[in-house]
Amino acid sequence: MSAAASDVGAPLSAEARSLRHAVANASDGALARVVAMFDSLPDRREADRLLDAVRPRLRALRPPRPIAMPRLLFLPLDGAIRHPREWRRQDGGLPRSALLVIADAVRAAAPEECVAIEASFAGRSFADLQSVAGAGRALWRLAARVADGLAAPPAWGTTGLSAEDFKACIALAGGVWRHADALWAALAVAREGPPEPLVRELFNGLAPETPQVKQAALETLLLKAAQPGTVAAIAGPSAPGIADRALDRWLEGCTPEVSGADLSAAAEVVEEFLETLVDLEESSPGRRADRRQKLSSLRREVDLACRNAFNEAATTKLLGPLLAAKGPPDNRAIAEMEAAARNLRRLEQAGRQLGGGGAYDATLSRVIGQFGTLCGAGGASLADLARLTEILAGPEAAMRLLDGG
Amino acid sequence: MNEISRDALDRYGTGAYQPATFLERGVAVPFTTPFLLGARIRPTESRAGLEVVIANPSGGRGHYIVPWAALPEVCSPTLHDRRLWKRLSDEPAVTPALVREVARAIAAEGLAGREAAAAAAKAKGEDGAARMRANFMLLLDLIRRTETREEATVPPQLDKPDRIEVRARRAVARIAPRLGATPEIIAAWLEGIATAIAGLGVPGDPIPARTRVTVATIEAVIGEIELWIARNPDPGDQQAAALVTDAAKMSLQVARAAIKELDGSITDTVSLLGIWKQDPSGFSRRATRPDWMLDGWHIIAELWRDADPEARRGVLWEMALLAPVLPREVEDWVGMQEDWDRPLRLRRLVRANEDWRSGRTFEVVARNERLRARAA
Repeated sequence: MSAAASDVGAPLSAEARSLRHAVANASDGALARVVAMFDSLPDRREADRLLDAVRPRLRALRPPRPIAMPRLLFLPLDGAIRHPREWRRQDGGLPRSALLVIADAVRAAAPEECVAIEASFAGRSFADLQSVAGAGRALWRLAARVADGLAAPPAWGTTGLSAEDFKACIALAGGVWRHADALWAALAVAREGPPEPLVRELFNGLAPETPQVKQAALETLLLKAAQPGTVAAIAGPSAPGIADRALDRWLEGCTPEVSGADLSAAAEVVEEFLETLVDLEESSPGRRADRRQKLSSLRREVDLACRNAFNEAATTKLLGPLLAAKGPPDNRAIAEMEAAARNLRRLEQAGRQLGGGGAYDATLSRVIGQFGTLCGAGGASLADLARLTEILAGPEAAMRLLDGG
Repeated sequence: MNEISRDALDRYGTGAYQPATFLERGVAVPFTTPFLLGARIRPTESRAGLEVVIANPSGGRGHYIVPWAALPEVCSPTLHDRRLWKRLSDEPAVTPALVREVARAIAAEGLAGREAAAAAAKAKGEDGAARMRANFMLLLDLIRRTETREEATVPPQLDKPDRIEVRARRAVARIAPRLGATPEIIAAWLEGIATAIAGLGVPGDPIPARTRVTVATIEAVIGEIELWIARNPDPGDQQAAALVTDAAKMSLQVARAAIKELDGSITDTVSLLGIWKQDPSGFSRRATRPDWMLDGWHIIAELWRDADPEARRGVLWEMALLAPVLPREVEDWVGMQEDWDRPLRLRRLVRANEDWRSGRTFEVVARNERLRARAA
């Protein structure tokens, strides 16, 4: 970054710090509402800063977010967006603080077409992949077409970045937008690998582009890919050195958040992590000694987080409510506990593949043992407890509870 | 949880399943274990015991035919299914009504969840109410057929409850000598008829009974599938849709014929009492025919209704695997000729595909419990 401190990268005011603290401590529901409100702002630069602290939670929560032109425009560059303090021109990527100004410059270059594209996704959310794909393709093609002619707008000064930075950012973004159709095709099926032919097609197309463009596209793809090792292996020959850098960067940023507070998200995170871990352990880029070490350390971290989340959630979401109940729990309470038990089971099934089977057995034994003491205690019925046991540990364990109860 | 024992299944193997009678087709049991969804219970060939017919989840022709006692060997059934299995093991004969009654009793224990327990209790109450309603409707008809013009100035259905009772007693007293019975016996016959037709109800009743609701549900699902397939012209999906809708239409065709035949008797209470006097068990058996013909479709219809629109492709194949075949006995029952084996032949084309069962087992169990609740 040419300027040490842009206004976006500047320290937060006391008021902003207090707001960021409030956002960080908001409940899941409140956070989703806050994000929806931020998404509707014409200029969300300040809002983006407030969300920095909760980005890991947002990744897990995935609140439905309305399609907004700037977010859609930079979707193919998702993996290449850097915090302004971390961005250096020679390393590639785009500083977050530049995004809205670039989006405004694209809009100013083709206002009527932008209005038409915005009208096509009005009222739609990013969960509507068909709308995202349709409007996205139109927008990325338009942006690729106008990118070369863009000059730094007056607002660029507010970013604290230089004119040279602008050129570098536009060259990078324009290069990725030129190949956004192929990138999107791979991203759309990223959880299936993505399939090798789509990755090959993308990198064949990227061949004439600069290393920075290739790296940005690869980083975006790795962000969503279920098999990052395989993707890096395919991209490697057509992007020498870049695939290694992108993969190392991916590994550095790989910090799966496994929290017992949101079991469903935790289970999904662990399941996805497992898939990527297996792929990395089996792929040639993942077999390098330093990466093996990193993978092994990641495995241990996630295993521990998973066991802790399981143990904590079994107590707070099942035993706690059951022990605290003054009478028979109502249907809603039971439905919530059964949903929690299903998510615990899902987390445990994924977690066992990382190791630590004994820890899950111990937690299950403790929980089901407690269920036994609750039978006939005036709270949950024997049938309710048997069902929770069945969901957590299978029908045989539930039969034993019934026979003993 | 609910793992399938391939070794045990291989021991029993798959066999041809071309039932000649409805009893041979078996009765659908509302199991919640994924592997057992839509499985049917039937007497063994020697009538010495029971066996279960399970659709081969990999499609094709075969069905697993497993001795009832061996069920826990081939898979690990849910708690609810173990109870249901044990309770049905004690039954000497199976009919859709009996399986429904036993299954409701088990669901009421709460082992398939509170929603299924509440639905079972509600359905039991509704069946009781349907019996009383059928009896009431029969009495109203009897009043209409036995009163003079002067006595019938107020239509019976619009009269006060105490007046209806007086008029009903008079109608029963008038008809009794004509049928060579006492009024008490006529009242008992009416109760017997009401019990036999409670599930079917009386034609024209603005509150449709269970069987008529099932017919309407299947009709609605056929319409929805046809609409869906018109928008999703994938040839594979069309094949599954054709199998399901073809089998459903066949079942509806014969069920409607059986209902029409029964309605012809039910619309005239005086004639109906005569039929009942001659052969009460014969009439009772005939009244169960629509139930046999539509057996198994509840779960299939609820599978469709439960599925998210984007998951309907997978569920269509699951429905195709479970679509019941009609046995040749149906020709004796409704006097119709049809290519009854057509769904069976189409079923051979059902692709070997277990994708739809590859979801997390406990989530499929939760779904099956929802189906169980809705098809109570």
